[in-house]
Amino acid sequence: MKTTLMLLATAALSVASASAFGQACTAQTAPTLNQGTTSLPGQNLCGFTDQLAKTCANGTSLATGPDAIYQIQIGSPSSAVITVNGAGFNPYIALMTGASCNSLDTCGAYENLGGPSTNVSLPSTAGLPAGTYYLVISDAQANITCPGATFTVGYTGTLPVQLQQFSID
Amino acid sequence: MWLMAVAAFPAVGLAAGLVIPPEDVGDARQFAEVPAQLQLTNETASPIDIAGIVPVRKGDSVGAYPRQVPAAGSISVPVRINTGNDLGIHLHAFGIKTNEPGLAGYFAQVKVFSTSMLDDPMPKIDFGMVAADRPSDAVSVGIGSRESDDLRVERVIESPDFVDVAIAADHRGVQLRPKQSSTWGLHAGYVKLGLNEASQPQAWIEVRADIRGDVVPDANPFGFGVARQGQKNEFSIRLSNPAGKDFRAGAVTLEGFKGDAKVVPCVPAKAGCRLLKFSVADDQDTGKLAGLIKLNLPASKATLGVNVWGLLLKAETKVIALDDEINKRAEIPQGATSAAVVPRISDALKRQPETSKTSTETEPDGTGPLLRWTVANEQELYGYAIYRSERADGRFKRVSTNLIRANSDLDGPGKYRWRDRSADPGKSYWYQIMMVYLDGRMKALSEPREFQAK
Repeated sequence: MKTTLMLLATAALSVASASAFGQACTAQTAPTLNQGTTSLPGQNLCGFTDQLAKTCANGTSLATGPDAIYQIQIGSPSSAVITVNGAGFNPYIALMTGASCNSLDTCGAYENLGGPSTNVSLPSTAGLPAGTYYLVISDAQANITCPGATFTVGYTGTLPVQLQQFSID
Repeated sequence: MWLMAVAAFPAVGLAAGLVIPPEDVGDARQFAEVPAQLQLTNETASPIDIAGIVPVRKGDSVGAYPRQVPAAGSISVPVRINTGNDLGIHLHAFGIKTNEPGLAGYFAQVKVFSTSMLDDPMPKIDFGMVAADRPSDAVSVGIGSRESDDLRVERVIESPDFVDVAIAADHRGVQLRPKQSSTWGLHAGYVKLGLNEASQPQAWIEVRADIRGDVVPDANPFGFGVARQGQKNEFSIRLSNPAGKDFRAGAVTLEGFKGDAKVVPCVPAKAGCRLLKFSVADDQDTGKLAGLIKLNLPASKATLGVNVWGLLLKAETKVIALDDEINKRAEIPQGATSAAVVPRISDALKRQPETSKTSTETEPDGTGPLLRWTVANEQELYGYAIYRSERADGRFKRVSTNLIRANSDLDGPGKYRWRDRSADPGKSYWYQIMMVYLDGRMKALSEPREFQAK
């Protein structure tokens, strides 16, 4: 059921893109990603299989190892930071578009990696057009030890950065 | 180079004997050469021979390294990263092939955070729809930096074949004009400029144009969404002649992905209308696909290119709808009288941090002005840079060599201290803190503040 919904959403997006004569790159209306500010704990990379060979078209190749893929809807406007905190492996995260405009810089800054038990974040979604995106979580080192490769994936709606105090002594 | 690397190093199994942690080399300027070390640790009781190490990205390189990793031992491999036009976080991969039987190889990842001294670090010009047979207006693009009075464009290193480039008379920018072309479709590329500044030797301008002739696709680029291996994965793009005049299609070729394509009449048949039908083949890497379909139009003596994008997945690939999963966790528990509250962004925006972060930095030693600042809501930030000027309205130059990393792993406001050890005692300076976003953009965090060094 989940898969059906995902495909329907993608098909709808393709139709919207195809019908937007000459304006394939304009923002499309989509449900907003950041209706909540929360996370999905208790995920385990060991529960997934090797699903992808590459993420960013001509940018990043992935080792053979489990890849978790999450479908997310990003609305316009949106302002959220997607974060993964993994334990027992070195999290690699990338945000791929299924159907949206592409930059020459294929993933741009929307991929990142880090060490175990640290927050690995992507830039704010504010810089992205609305649409369906796929978040890939994998291991940057291809040496996970199962069943311990757990992670939390979530997103946080962001407030404007606020300078609370500045002094020079 | 990338294709060669991937062909040689397609994958790695979980039984691999080497452990290669990702390397984070911190921040660097655009177009810089950054040294890094790959650490290869052998976790087996037998030595592992290294057959070869190649960079995946053009411009990166590998230095001399031992050809064997001893049993239960480690080696360091020196590599150099060319940051190029990167901005923000970018990953640079290296393919490593060993003598381990049945193992294709490894990928080692090096992370670099790139910044720019340009006021607009990623200039982009989109000409939109451009008529193939009529001249277009030129667009001026300025290249400037708050850090330099004397930044000048010295030469055009390279430009795409669909754009004419002229350096402005004052060398503070360029004029760009799309060329008339017999290659129709979406064109994109970089105008690469040489600058007179050692710390920012180049500036790249991304340019795009949708060059339109007698035959126009109804979407370009065309996003086909998700294709799954084992399915037909057929897609159609409508081609039209805006005047309703019929046209004949010649050869169709694919670049960048495997599949088939052909041009067929529209249903119902209509003058000046054809369908470009294409399919995505199974026998290629899963992941993001990006390619080009080229259609020859003999009567117009032109070629039309249609860019296609999408995601190829295995038939059984599980995709989790993140919001659905999160919402499931918030559904009514058994016996509960009301639904659990799903956090809303509006609630989050009202929420104030409850705790304060404490900077892990100790008080910077030495003498010179000590800047202290406290910041809330840093989730989008990579860090901070300190700029200094000798006048309020003067040129501000970066005095913090490396970025000061935001404490993103801590809750609540971040507290920071940084000392300017290069200040001359008795002299007055103006200081400004710039915040650096995760995508590499910079923005002022504070107004300039004057201070006399003691």
